Formats: sequence, structure tokens, C-alpha cells
Amino acid sequence: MKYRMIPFRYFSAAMNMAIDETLMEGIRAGGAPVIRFYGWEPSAVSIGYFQGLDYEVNREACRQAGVDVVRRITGGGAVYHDRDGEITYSILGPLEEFPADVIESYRLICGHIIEAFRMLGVESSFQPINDILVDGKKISGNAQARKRGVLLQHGTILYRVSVETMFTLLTVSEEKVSDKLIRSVKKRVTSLSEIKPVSFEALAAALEKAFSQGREVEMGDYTAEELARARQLAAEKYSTEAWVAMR
Amino acid sequence: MLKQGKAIKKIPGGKLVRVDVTYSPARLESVKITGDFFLHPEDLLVAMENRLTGAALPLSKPQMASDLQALLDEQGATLIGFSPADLMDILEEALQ
Repeated sequence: MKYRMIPFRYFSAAMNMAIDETLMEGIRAGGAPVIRFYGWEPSAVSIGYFQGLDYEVNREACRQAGVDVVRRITGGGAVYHDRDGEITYSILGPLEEFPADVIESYRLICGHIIEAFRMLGVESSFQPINDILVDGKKISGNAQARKRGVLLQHGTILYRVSVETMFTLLTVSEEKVSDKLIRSVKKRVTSLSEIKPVSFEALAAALEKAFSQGREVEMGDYTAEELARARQLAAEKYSTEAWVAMR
Repeated sequence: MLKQGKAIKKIPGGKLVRVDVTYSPARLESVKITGDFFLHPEDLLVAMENRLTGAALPLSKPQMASDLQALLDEQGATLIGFSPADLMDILEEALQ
């Protein structure tokens, strides 16, 4: 199948989630599978579909910092998406395009990210269930949803990370936000800029190249109809309290 | 008189699961399961919670775990990060 690949572009958190759902609808209606790259403007916290909002997010701190909060349609954990700190990708296609085994499908798709790092001279490895590690530290988290015949996997590739900012936005009890804990997270999380001086643009280009390997890919863009539908979903679903605070 | 309880567990090699429960002496009145796990199809979590709601106390853990597994199997579901048996352990802790 020929994939439509859409280059990096910034959207709000609600729009990013709405675009994924819009593209799933399109594939369900017979459209081509899609690979897209995007950022978050403003910076945002996304929580997993099954997470309790108040357990995970300091909403007041997010409000004060101008950081959006959104619930994903995928499971997994809470993520701080810094505007300048990461590239996020989504790959969407009919279920038959991917291994039925969930972990194997993570392994296959994460393989593209590992290949992109390899192109940049960085060795990384897949760590089941859904992570990619460099030197034992997490550099990419990934999450999947499988809905009515369509698979969505999205994930972040950390370019630059601020553990301190992350801790002000996510809900962690006061006593836990100690230097010790921050040091411990720093030992477990890394980003490309910590490892190697690579530009954001070079990372984006490597990801486009790596996700094209073994696939027929055509560069493209969102259609006006897709963006209109996504704006509707963003307004009526993803930015509503009913959705964000569902659990 | 209804009581409330909660418990949280990071499953070794799996994910973090929280259970919030409201219960009377005789039965579970409501159960909420949250965490960073994965379930495909995603909508099935509400069905799992509904299956637990109304269950008689004291818990019959093996029976309830088996009921939940049957529900997952019926729907061809994939649960990643914890098992029905793990959930029963957390639920039991929430009731203490």
C-alpha cells in the first residue's frame, strides 16, 4: 500500500489528537495509510486514554505555564510535549498492514525510529512494551490504538528534555519532587541533543527517510476537508472537559 | 453505609494500575480502573468495570478473574500491562 507522508508541522494538542482521529476515519473509508510528523504548539501534556486526569496532571501549573492538556485515544502514560523538545509521529493504516501481535507491531514500527537514530550515528534498541532506549535510557515512548479495523501508533522522539519542567506539570507529591527523584529520572531519560549535536531538521529528515524504508511512500499534506473535520473534532471532543476529565 | 478504598500497583514487567472502589458490606458498588496500561479494543475497560460492579463480597478472586478473562476472550481483546489476576490482587488491597 502507498503511504501518504506528511512533513513536520505544529498544531495544538487538541488538533493533533483530532487529526489522528480524522485520518483514522479516512482510512476506514478506504483512504491511503498515513505517516505524519508534528509538534505541539503550545507545549502540552497528554495523558493516556485510561489514566485518571487528577492523578497525573497539575492542571493549575499547566494553566499558569500556558501548557495545553489533552487525553489521547491511546493508552500509556502521561507525557510532557515541549514545543521545542521533541518530534512526534503518527502512523495509521488498516490493521492488516501490521502484525496482529501488539508487541511485534510496536517492534516493527519502532524499528523505523531505531533506523533513524542509526542514520544519525546513534545506537538504540527496542524495549518492550513500547519504549526505545539509548544506553539504557528512554528516548522514545510509543502508544497504539486499534479501532474498527484501523491501527494508530503515535510516539515521541525526544530532542531536548527538561525533567524539572516536566515535574512541575505532572502530578507528583511534593516530597517526591526531590532532587533525588529528579536525578533518578535524569538517569532514566535522555534526548538526542544530550547524545549528539544534531539539528532538529536533521532528525526530522532522518525520520522521514527511515519511515520510508520498506514502504511505498508519497509526500503529501492534509486536505482542507481533513483539517476542517479535525477542527470540528478538536472543538467538540478533544478540548472539552467531558473528554479531558473523562477519568 | 458505603465505604471507599483505593490501591495502586506497578506490575513487574508491566504497567501501573490504580483501582478506586466504593463498596457496601455486601457488594462492590462502583469500580474505576486507571493507569498507563493498554487495552485493545479500548472501549472494553468500561465493560470490565461494569462486570465487577455489583459483585458480592467477600471477593471470589479466582471466579472474578476468570469472568474478566472470559469477557476479554469473547471480544478478542488484548490487555497489556496487567492481568485479570493482578487486578483482583489490587482490588483486594483497595478493600482493606
